Amino acid sequence: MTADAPTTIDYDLLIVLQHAPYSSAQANEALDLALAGGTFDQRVALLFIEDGVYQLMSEQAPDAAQQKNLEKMLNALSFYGVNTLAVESHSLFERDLHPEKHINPKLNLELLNAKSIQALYDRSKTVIRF
Amino acid sequence: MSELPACDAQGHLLNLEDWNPAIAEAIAAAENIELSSAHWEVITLLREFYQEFGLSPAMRILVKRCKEKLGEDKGNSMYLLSLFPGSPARIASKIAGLPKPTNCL
Repeated sequence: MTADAPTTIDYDLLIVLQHAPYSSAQANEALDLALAGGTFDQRVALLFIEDGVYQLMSEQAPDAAQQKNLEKMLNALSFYGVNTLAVESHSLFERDLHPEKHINPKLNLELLNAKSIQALYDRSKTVIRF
Repeated sequence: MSELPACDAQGHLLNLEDWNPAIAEAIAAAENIELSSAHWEVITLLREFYQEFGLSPAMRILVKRCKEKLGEDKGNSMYLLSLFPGSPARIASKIAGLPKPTNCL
């Protein structure tokens, strides 16, 4: 970020999630960070891109994999004060995922195009990718 | 006091399904706490939170939840400290048979 950029900073932390859930610990770690940020009153936004959009699917059943239910963690975010969940619409489109059919209906998602995603980056002080 | 099931080093149950109210009494007794209805109110609230979100809340979130569910006079750290002296979120989650709070720094 340049010193003379006039953009307003709306988020202390933007967490970009780009990997499918349960294949590694990355999604879990990203959500842990989001919850920690929310606990300490940081302004946190989440952006789901590429295979990260699979984290948003409804009816996840990870019990068989003996893993923490990420869907429940996502539902907790708003209670922790994290209310900005953005998703790259092109990533959904590429994977033939439809918000009304496949995505957790409890989540209030913003579908963003490439330009809006750039704006979200510009409005964030720190970006961490998982 | 009944025999306690397997616990980790800090006294949290290893298997959450081992929990029952008698176990809760026993864990509380080990912390020198005698459970009253006020304690049970918080324990129930924690267990419902865990059911819903799969998380043990850290202090600030526990306070927020208590405020929301039990009212303003119980949604503050002083009230929770009076029930669970020392570290309310950690001790109450232990008695409730839940893991140590996430982000409990």
